[in-house]
Amino acid sequence: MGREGPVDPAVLFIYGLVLTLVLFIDRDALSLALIGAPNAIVGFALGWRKYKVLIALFLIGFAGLAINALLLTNVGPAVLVVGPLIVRAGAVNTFITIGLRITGIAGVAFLFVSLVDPALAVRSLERKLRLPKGVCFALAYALRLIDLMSKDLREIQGVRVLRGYRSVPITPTDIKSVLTPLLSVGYERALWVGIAAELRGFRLRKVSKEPLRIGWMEAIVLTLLALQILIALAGMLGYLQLVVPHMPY
Amino acid sequence: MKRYTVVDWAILGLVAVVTGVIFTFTWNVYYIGKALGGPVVARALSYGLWFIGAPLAASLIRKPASAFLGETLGALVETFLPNAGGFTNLIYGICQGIASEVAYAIFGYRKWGVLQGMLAGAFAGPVAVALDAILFQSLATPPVMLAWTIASVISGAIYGAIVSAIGRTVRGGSEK
Repeated sequence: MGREGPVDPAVLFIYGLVLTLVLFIDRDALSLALIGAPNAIVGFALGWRKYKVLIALFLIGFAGLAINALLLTNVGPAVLVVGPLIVRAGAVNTFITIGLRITGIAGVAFLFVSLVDPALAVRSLERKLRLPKGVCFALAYALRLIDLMSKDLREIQGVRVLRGYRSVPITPTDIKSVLTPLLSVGYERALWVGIAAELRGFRLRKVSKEPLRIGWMEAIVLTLLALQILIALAGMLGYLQLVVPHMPY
Repeated sequence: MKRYTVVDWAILGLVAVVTGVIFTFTWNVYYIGKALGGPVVARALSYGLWFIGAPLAASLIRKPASAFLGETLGALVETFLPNAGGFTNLIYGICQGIASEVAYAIFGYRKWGVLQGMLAGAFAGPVAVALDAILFQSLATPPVMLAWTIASVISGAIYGAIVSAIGRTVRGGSEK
């Protein structure tokens, strides 16, 4: 039995799911900043060593977001004039709001994948959050299959190269010719794994239920979650405003 | 209601890993599209690939709720894999799975062919667009929404038909 890490995976799953929902529906830029920025900083810092390419790709994407904001929502009073380009309040507002939202969501995602072992998370979902055992079996099987399927995929790509086709599928026909052998092998394997599990008495297996582990770390995570929900509610109800001090001169 | 056997759950696991890996690959297409043309172009390029879990699972398992479970489990696997979407994958997966399930429910869960797969992919499209409109609310102007909807329905139908045909080949047998 492996260690579950510094925080109970089930608690982190609840934190990630609820906070993503909050960021998804929040419309207030200030509350998005207050929630999104800390999660992004922590998530990107934790994930930087393992996922620096993904984080870099995500950050490069902001150029595209700026292009979209300028093309689609460049309305309202002018904020910045750069030669022939006039940047208006609508584009700035769109860039900031959507940028903060997707950054917060990505931050939460990297925080979760950096702190949680997927296999332990599945077991935690089954025992602590009472997810049906069939669903958890499918998930655990899927996670174990990833390496095996990657190997199968590399072999299929190798054969495609030998036959003079491109190794990375681009067109729908390519995808079909890669997926068919991949699924044929996987289907046969799944069939026998299923039969073996059935014969070993999977249906009769009782799931041992465990309560959520609530230690100091979990209490801190849940308190932070509650605080961020309150910030989002305050922002959406208009109780959160940025007060800029008025300078006397 | 037909009961799910362990073989069905194992096949769902297979669908989840295949779709999870494809979804994760699709994120690369999405990142490149987003850097070049923003979220609007990125989503138009990658739409159909996100909807394949439901028709693939349904064509392989052929039981009620298989479309929903296929899409949702694929999204859950994708949530566990590192990508910028995180838990939004799960939110999208559940909603798209429900929409795709309708395509099989309207045929009384008696037909699992290419037409139903095509509809399952197409039905997931408007749901994904509606969720995109929430996520990118200011970018979702009426012309963009229209373009997104058309792109998602066409792309979903194409990939839905393809994976249903693959599912039928792999499983063998008729559409019923």
